[in-house]
Amino acid sequence: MQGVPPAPDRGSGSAPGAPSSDAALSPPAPALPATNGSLLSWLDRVIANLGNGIVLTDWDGRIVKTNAAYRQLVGTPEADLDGRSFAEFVHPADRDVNLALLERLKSGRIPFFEIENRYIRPDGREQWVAKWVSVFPVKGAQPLLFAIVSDATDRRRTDAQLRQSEVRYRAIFDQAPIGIAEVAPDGRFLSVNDALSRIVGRSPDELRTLRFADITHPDDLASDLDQLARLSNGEIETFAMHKRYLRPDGAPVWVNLTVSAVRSDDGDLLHYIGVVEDIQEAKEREAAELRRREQAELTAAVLTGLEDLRTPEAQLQHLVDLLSTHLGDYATVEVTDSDGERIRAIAHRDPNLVATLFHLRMHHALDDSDRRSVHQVALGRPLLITEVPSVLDDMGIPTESRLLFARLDPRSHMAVPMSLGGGVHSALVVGRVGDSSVPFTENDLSFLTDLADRVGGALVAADVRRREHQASLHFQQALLPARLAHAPTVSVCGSYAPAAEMLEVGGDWYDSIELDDGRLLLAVGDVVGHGLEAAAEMGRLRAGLAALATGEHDPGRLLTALDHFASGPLGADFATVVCAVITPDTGEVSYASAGHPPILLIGPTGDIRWLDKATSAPLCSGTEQSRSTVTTNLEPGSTLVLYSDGLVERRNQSLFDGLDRLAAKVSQMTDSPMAGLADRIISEMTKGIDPGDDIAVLAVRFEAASAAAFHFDLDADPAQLSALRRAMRDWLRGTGLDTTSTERAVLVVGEACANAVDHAYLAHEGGAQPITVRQWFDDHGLSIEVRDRGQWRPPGAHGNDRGRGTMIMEALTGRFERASTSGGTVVRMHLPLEARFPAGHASGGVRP
Amino acid sequence: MNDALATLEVDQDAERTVVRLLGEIDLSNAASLGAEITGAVTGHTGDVVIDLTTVTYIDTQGVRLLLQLARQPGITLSVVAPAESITGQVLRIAGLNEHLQVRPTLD
Repeated sequence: MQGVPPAPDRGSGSAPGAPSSDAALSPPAPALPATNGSLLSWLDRVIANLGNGIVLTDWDGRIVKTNAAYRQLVGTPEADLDGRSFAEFVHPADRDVNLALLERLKSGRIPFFEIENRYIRPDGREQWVAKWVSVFPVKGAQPLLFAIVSDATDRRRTDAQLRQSEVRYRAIFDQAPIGIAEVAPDGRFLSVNDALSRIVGRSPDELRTLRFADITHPDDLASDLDQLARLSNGEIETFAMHKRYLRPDGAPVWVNLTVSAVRSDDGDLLHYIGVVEDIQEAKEREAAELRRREQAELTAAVLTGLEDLRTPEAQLQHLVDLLSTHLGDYATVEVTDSDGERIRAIAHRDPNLVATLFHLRMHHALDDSDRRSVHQVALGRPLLITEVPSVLDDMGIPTESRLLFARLDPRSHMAVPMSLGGGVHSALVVGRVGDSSVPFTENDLSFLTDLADRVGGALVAADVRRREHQASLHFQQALLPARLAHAPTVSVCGSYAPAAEMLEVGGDWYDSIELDDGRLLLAVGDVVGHGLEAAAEMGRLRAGLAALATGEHDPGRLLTALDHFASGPLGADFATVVCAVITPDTGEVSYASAGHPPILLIGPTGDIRWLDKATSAPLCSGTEQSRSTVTTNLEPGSTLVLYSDGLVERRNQSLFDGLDRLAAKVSQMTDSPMAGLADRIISEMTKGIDPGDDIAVLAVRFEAASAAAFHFDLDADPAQLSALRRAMRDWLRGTGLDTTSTERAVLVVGEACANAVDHAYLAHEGGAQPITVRQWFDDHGLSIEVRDRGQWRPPGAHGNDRGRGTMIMEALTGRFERASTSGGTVVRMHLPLEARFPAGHASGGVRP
Repeated sequence: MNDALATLEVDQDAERTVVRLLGEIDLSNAASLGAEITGAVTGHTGDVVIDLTTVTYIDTQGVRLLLQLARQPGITLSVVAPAESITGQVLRIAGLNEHLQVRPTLD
């Protein structure tokens, strides 16, 4: 092996590994002594104390001369070096390179070479050295080889570390799952890794021609630049932000960007390093989550609104109002309900465009034959038009509609079918307007489709409930008395108002029953609960009271009996009842209340009293109650009001306020006609509010006997009939009644009395039995009552002639009733007089 | 008593006997009126017309009277009563026109 260690040619004459002092050591050829001996001794002196190792070998590489530094590097004393080849000390892995370079040097192709290589010391340790090797010409002799050798241990270590860190950085840079970019201060991409290239959808080469601003979403640029400025002036060390890059197709991609500045030792900004994390999926998930939440909230708002509204019109308007503000800019809906009624609702975020939309909808009314109508499509399946302008041209829309479309400026449009109880022609339409609006997506369409399904279902349910409500209402009204018993001196008028709320048919009721002693039982009750069940229970209580009243006339005991009845096996909910028994001749009133609000008594001059004694717990309270009766007297001209709590209870008001209001209202009504008085009380008390509960009112007025009624007693003597007719005619004409009605009344009373005389004659063989005729005006006409002490005999028992009287009475009256008790027979008739009754006929103190 | 309540006028020729009733007919006088009318038409063979135009009150007692007259052998009875009057209504409701002729006017 040859001596001087070779190395790859670096093609340069500089010797980075060698100290600069080496240059001074380069022996200038002219100064060299002529002989080897003298040369070597000169060299000895020059090199002996140099810090760098020096070695001279002969042309074949055998060591001729070394200095101490060299010997230290090779770890070998001078004595062991003479005549040895320098190559022995070179690490085997480095030898070939050394020798190859040496050959090139010796052949004169290169003037010198530099190399770093390892020496192997006798103790086996490696020693990194940097060598500078050249030829040392010797006059008249073979040249020598000359090398300057320095310890390269430290440099090797630093290089290795540097290289290692660079490799590591490159590896991270290139293979990192996150995007990394080095960005010049002017925003140009200096280098980008593959990950970034994938995220933004552009090749590294393309990116290096761009600035980051070129691919940043416009909305995010300002914030990015602002942060970068703060980073660049040293205000901050680093920043992070969520921003959007734009891919070549314009699609935004969300990233989490972290930027740091790389500075020189002087603090000058060299470049930025940006780390880019793709968070598009997370953003999409987040957006989808947000969208789902918003959609759920919208659905909830729509459905709750439908619950609260009563008419399909209001419900559909509510639907389009919400959709035009929360999903699109406009919305329309058109449904055909189960009655075949078409209902249309329209809303636009801009109220000025509602009319435009309306006209458009008219032009595009749902029509099977109109193929241009997008809604026709919607009848079968959902329709999504992401870009309306691009499809308008293809639709062959008439000019007029075009103008309307231009005004509306729809951008994106959805139409979905909606079914309302089997209605085929139903469509829900939502649109967004303006170029800047975001087009609807498939997700929006499926949401709207689902919403339409739900709304359709809710509307059908609401329709069913409405019908049920109507049915309950009819049922309840059927259960309320068709007519109220009254007396010559006692006018009675009742009214029932259902609660405004849907399905809130209640259990309030009223009744007026004639007891068999001629007194009147008045009652108002309230069954707790709502709906058909409460209405049914109300009917049961009413019937129960009427049945019990045949044997019991005392209000307190009547309530006790009613409680037993109501608490029976068919057992009811809690119910309150107030009842009063009034004696028509005297105005005596007995009353009792089972948990019910007190009866209002307004005197003839408007003075207020409450009949608030004789109270006990409601029916079905579960405990045996002692229920007392209190008796008082009415002055003629007094008005009694029995009512359910719905009349006086208001949200946020005390019951006492309600009672005071009722008393104040009714005290103004002492001269008010009885006809419709109960209705008027309800409307006065509920003016301007929606009663939350149903209301029953029974208004009763007591009049002095002489003023109110016609009363005629006669014996069962045919000769007295003409006197009766005369008295009747006088009285009826005195009230202003027309002749025809008067004669009709005279006739039916005559028939009834002829029968009564006949009974009396047959029963008592001519004995003078009293017959009593009473007549009075009520709400609707003339009430007639004829009582005798005999027994009625069925028609036909006395030949065909006998039934004719009944036929005439039935034919000429609105109502004809005959009731027989052991005490006698009562015929009650009523002549409806609505059309014929003259206004202001109140002469003789008779009230209509 | 009966005189005060109702009176009757009889117009008789070969063709017919017209009995005009004036006043009121009720349980108290129906029977005696029946007897009077029967007496007035007995022996005449022509038609009998009962004119109720001037009757101010008639009830089923009066209807019964008319039917009894109509059933008497040898009498062809007809009745005059304005349709819209209370008397006309009573006759109609009682079904009198099923048994005899009811005319609105005498001629």
